[in-house]
Amino acid sequence: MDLAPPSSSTQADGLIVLGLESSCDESAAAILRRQADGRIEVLADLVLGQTEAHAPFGGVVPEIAARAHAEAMDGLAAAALNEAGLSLADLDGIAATSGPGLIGGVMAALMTAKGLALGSGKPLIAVNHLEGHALSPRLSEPLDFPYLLLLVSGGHTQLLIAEAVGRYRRLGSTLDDAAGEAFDKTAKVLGLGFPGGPALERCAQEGDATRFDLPVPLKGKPGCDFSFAGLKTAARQIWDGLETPTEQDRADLAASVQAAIARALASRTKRAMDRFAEDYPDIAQPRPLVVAGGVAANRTVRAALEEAAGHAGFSLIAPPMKWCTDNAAMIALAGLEKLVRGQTDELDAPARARWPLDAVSAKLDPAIGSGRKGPKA
Amino acid sequence: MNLLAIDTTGPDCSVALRQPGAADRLVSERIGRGHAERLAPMVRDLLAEAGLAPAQLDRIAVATGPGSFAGTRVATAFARGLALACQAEAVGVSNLVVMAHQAGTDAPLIVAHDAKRGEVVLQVWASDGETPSDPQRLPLDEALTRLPELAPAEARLAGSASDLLAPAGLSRTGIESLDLSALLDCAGLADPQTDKPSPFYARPPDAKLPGGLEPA
Repeated sequence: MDLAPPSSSTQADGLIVLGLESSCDESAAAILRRQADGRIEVLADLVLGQTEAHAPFGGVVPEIAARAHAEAMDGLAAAALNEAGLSLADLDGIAATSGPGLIGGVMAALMTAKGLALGSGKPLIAVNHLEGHALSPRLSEPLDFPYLLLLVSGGHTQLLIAEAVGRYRRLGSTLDDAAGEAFDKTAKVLGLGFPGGPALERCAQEGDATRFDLPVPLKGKPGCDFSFAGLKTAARQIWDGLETPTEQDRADLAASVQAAIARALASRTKRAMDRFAEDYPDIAQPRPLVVAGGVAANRTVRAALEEAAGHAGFSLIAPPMKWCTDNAAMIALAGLEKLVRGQTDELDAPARARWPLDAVSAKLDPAIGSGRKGPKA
Repeated sequence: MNLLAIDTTGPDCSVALRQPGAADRLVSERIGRGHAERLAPMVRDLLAEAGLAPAQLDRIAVATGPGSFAGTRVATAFARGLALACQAEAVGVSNLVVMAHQAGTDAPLIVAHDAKRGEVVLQVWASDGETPSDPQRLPLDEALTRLPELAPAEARLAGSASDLLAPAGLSRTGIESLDLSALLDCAGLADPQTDKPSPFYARPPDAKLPGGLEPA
């Protein structure tokens, strides 16, 4: 039986896709229209955070997140349609994050999307969450490929070259913790509450960033990989070694850790910028360096990246904060770009806890390979 | 009423369709895991075999557990998305209620779910026509000790914890898992206003507060 009715909109009118996201602790739904010339219009963009539910635990609890997502997704989809003034019949596709992320949460958006797709006869588009981030700068402004991308959040820290839709080359990623984890876990040690990143930044304002000597991760090691576990451990040992830590000690350590993370991000990104310049000598200066992910909100990190970019002949581009952190607009955008290319998915599409972004490239061009598969890949 | 019912609370991935004037269509696969992959194609194929378009569904029912947390969410999230798209009612039915229905109306009855880690979830139907007790989670040894106060001695036992509670010496119904026809029956009787398609979790999320404290 053919369940697909004729599409309500032709490509000339633009394609409309609903995107759903639930891979960490934000439940989100968004609807985007893509004009035939590639211009993007955001028709609805909703995010339901869970910070209060996780705050007492000092971090995201996967089962709490999954329970909240499962209760929220259908309501968010309905609210997004309502806000856009559309019905499901007006859509051309239904996109959902199908990984990587906390698997119980990922399933909520993906299963909701499957129900919507089967019920409406619209195609399902399973989106790699990281591809959403990689394309997110294109939500707010036209940006030509290729560009260098630093994705830095609580779940991911990686450097990628976005070569085209569906083609991403990973230059490096974290070998252990994500940068955002280093922020959050240090904030927890210092008793600063959750979410830890913003709390640590506030505390660091009054601190002396030069007071504590912290190790430089992967010092002198070639390549663009990151490591933050050692930094986090060193910060904890310093804190535990202070007999009666004062507010000033707390602020100084927060500032020192923040500066060390910013330095590490900037120095590895510097290597990636050199690689990019070598690989694409024809791209005129300033070359594009995009930073996305929640850590991009940190002013010290951003300043360090801006300085490094300036020295290397790059300009730093950061999407608006609402599209830097997890959101569904970027999922709908990635879904639209896949739909335009005829890349839709079957109803048996799996939810995936791990899904390295270059696996997307590997599928299209096996010569690229799927890269390292690790817990933070 | 065209009624679709789904159960992914255990090792089976099950879908069932009841249409006026037609025999029930019941499809069940023992897959253990991978419900998120199998469920939607099974529903699609079931509707196709019945010649029914999704939009012709009037009600979509889901077994809400207790059972596998992740598995239960697979069905509830899917059912709610499907119901939204089909403008159908979405309802949830507890596995304990379905098994009580399977056991028939000869109260008193205890339906007990094996919640693992030495715990059971119990619900008691004291007598015919009366509202059952609220389900409660108890350590197995406490459940065995307290059974005499929780239910009359002539109560019969159903549910996945039947073996665990065997030492109590109650007569057993032999009903230990959910039957799809019974799920359809209960789904048809459910009230969309009160029987929401939300998972019935056997226990709160595993998470300790800083300092190893249990959440309030």
